[in-house]
Amino acid sequence: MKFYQSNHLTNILVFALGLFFIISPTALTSTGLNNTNSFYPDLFLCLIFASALNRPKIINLYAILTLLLFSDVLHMKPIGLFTILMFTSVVIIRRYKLQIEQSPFYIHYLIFLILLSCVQTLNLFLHHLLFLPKLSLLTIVNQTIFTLICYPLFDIPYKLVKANKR
Amino acid sequence: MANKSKPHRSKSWSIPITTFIFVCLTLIFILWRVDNTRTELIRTKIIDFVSPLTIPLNYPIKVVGDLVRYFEIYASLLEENKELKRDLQNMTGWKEKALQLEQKNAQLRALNNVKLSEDLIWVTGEMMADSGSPFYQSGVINIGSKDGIKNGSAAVDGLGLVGRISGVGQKVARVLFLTDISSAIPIKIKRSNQKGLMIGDNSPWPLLEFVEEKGLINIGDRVFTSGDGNVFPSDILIGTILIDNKKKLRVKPVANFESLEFLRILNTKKIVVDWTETDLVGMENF
Repeated sequence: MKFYQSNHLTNILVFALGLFFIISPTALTSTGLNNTNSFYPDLFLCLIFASALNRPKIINLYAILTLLLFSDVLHMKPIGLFTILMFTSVVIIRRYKLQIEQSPFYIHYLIFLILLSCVQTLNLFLHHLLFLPKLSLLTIVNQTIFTLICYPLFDIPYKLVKANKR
Repeated sequence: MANKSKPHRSKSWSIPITTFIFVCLTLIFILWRVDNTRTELIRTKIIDFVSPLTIPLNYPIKVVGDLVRYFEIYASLLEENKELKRDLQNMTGWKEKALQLEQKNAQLRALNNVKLSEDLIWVTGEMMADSGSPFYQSGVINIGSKDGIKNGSAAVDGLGLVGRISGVGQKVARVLFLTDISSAIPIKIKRSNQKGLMIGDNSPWPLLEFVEEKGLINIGDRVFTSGDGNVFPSDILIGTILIDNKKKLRVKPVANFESLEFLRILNTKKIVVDWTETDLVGMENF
């Protein structure tokens, strides 16, 4: 098998894109994206979920774990908390990979919606429970809606690639 | 068919490995919660290490952001030009007045033999990145402990207070913005000479709490640091008073958070001995 057909390329691409989506929001864009009133999608989450839902067999969990921890460190989040929640989601997806991988787009979208809502709700709940700095509900809702809108941009290319291979 | 309906377990990731990772992650989180100061130090070291990577990766985004900003500026150029001409007329009068006051000030200083404080020292640095999340309001600056930066030092832009240093690496430091939910700064309101506490809530306008007599405060009154608690030097301009929809007092910072480029970090020799970094308000959360 050639390199461009290999799973390594997918993992390298996911890792590089993930790194880009983690670092890029920290850019000083002079447009005030990062305030509470902003409508800012979490593209990194889209990438992780799209990769896990479409390539559950070949996705490297160590790479995902590293990226999630790096995201926590760089974005000043409580280290480990969001990683645990996201990692649980990815493990759940991998557990049902046979059923999930071949599912159509709308099933993936539904799974993404359910998992993202659970992750965000649990994150909010744990912040309150453990007396961590409060997260704004409005910002979370805004971010979740815009992340949901952006998700097809990540899922559909996977589906197209898969269709081309057939 | 029967095989398909069964949940498929990953061969490469067995239950013990997954459990072990969960335990490790939980331990990392507990460590962050319990020994926050040390964990934050590790976080700062990691950011210190990866910060050179963020510059080339962020460059295209910065360029696109700047282009959008220039386009917006260009679109409103005509309107601004008219406004500027109007302002210029007003400013000419103010300039005259300022020159007179400057002369008077110099005369009074000479008469009273005033000596300005030599305790205040500063270092200027360039902003490299912000927190990247709407939930945490902070940024990374390209100066660190080797430049004499210390935790708790005030950060100002050309206009007013931006925040304080919270986490110092060798080459970079983190600036916790005054809008962050962990930020609390003792302030005084100049016209009524009242004291209070300015508390961030992640919105662009921090809340004003613990003010003795709210009735004496007017919209537009200027807010300065009070210097209480020996964290910040006193009389650094923060912003002006405004009242929100819920009739709560807020401060509109004069610092322009949307285009922070260079920050001046103020250090006073006095504040170093009075407290440790764990005493800082909000430090336990970071």
